[in-house]
Amino acid sequence: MNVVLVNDVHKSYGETKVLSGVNLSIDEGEQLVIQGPSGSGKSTLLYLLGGLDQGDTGVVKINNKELSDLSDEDLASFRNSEVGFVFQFHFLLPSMNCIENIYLPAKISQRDNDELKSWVLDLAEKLGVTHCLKKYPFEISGGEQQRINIIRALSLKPRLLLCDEPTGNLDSNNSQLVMKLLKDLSKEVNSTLIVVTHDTKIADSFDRKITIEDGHIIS
Amino acid sequence: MKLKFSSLYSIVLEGKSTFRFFVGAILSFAFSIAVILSTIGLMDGFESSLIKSLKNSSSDLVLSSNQGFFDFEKLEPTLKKNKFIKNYDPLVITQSFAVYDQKSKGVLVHGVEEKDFNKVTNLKLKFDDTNSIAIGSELASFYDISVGDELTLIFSSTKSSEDGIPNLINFQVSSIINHGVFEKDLRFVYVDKSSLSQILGLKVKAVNKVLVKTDNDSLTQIEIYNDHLNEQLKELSIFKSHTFWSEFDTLLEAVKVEKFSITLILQLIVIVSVFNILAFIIFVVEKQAQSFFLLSALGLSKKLIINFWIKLLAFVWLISCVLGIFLTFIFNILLNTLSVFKLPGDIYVLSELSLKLDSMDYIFVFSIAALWIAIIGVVCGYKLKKKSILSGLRQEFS
Repeated sequence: MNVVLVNDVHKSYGETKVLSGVNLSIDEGEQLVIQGPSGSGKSTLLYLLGGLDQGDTGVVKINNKELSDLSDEDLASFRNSEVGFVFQFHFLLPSMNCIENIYLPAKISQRDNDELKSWVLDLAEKLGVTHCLKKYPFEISGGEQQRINIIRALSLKPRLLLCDEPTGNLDSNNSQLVMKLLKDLSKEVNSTLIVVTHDTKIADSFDRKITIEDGHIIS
Repeated sequence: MKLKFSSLYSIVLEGKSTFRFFVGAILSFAFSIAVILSTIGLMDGFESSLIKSLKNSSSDLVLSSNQGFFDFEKLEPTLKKNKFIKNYDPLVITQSFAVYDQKSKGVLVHGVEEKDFNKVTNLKLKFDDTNSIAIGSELASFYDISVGDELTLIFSSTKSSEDGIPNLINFQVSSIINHGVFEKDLRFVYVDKSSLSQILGLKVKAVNKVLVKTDNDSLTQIEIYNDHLNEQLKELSIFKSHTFWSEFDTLLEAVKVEKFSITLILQLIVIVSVFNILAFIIFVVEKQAQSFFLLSALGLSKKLIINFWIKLLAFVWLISCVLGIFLTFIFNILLNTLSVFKLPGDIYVLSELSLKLDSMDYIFVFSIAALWIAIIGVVCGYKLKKKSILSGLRQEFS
């Protein structure tokens, strides 16, 4: 069953064409990587799938819902409950400690219950960051910050886990570790994992690879 | 558990510098509100104190003749037939020089009937005998004179054989009165009417002014009575009735115009403080844009973020208004206690002044402040709405 369906999507920023007639379908629970050089449109495609931006023309359907038909509030609710984002930069709020950062999506949708708390603690244990939970982001290392970021993305067990260069700031050891965790955990919660990267080592570890160049999917 | 207002608030105000900036912006806005409230309060206070003081020292209506002195018997029947007239007191008023301890001052001498005069005004005159004089408090302090001292009044002689020779009469000060109006306290003196008539060589019923007390204290009603009386006095042609505040009409009108124009000019101060708030919001938006775009990405709708900004601005407005009232209150206390805030009475007519603010003044000032805040809110809301989450994230995290 298709979780993601992209049909003839075009996107431009001013005069610059970023996506030109992109078509894509992704099954539930699938794990795939989108690769391509800088400025090829891979991140833009990822953000269109996550409802952070909208295409100029074409259709983006997630779980049979066309994103362009959703209101601002419905789109916000979609991002909150169905999508988990892992960005290259950790994006943790410095005024909150790690556990508060993790609970942010749950607090926004008022789903901050005991089940979630035990799931978060379970994830923290699996990722080896239990000792970081009460600490502030500036008190922990870059690798730990990224793992906190992953816990936050997985906290509400999203159907789509979208990762934009998740290992871009990490050394190769940490990169391999983080990628393995993302794959294992997305399998555990039955999320569809989509990773954008230009790291060929990371890309090679995926069964399905999509390559974008100049806004076109070429393979 | 919902993402609380306080959580967003702590994100926005994160860092000492942001908090200080926030407090500074609120204080400057509160100060500008206080300045406008104090100015309006001063103007209203001036108007109200002047009218109150005038009413205290005068009757409701003042009747005079365009021929100077007149026979009161001609006017009395008209006054008697009006039921709204409670009391009246015919006066003799003349100019004179008061001399004491080699110092002299031009004064307006009022010849009054003690009992009748006290009934038509709120002044409590006391004459011990026909040689008594009551003087205003400023004149008493000018001469450093007190009850029991003798004061000389110099009148021009009325006898043709004594043409050019001044007529010096000694009076004993029997009471010192306070009109509340600087010029009256400095220039008005009161003596027994029959004595003054005798000094001036007037007939018993000859007077040049009549004070009338009506049955109503409302200024509007007094104005209606005044018009009514003037209608009746048309038959007698030489008489005219005036309200007690008519001699200060131009000043009161000027105060009203000044109040409006100063309020407009003071909007400049509000604009400066509005710029402070705008600067604070721009500073916060720049500093915390990362947080807001991240929250949007995590599922916080723009509507909720805009709601938060509206609540924050409403909070700024509310706190500024409360602080503005507090600062105005402090200014009023200083106005009444510190000598540096005392008004020069010879310029401002009154020697003392308090702020007077009614609910309409507060509504007016707070509404203008709310309008400015609303303009800021609309501008910021529009800017926030226009920017997509993705462009925000890219801009902030690139």
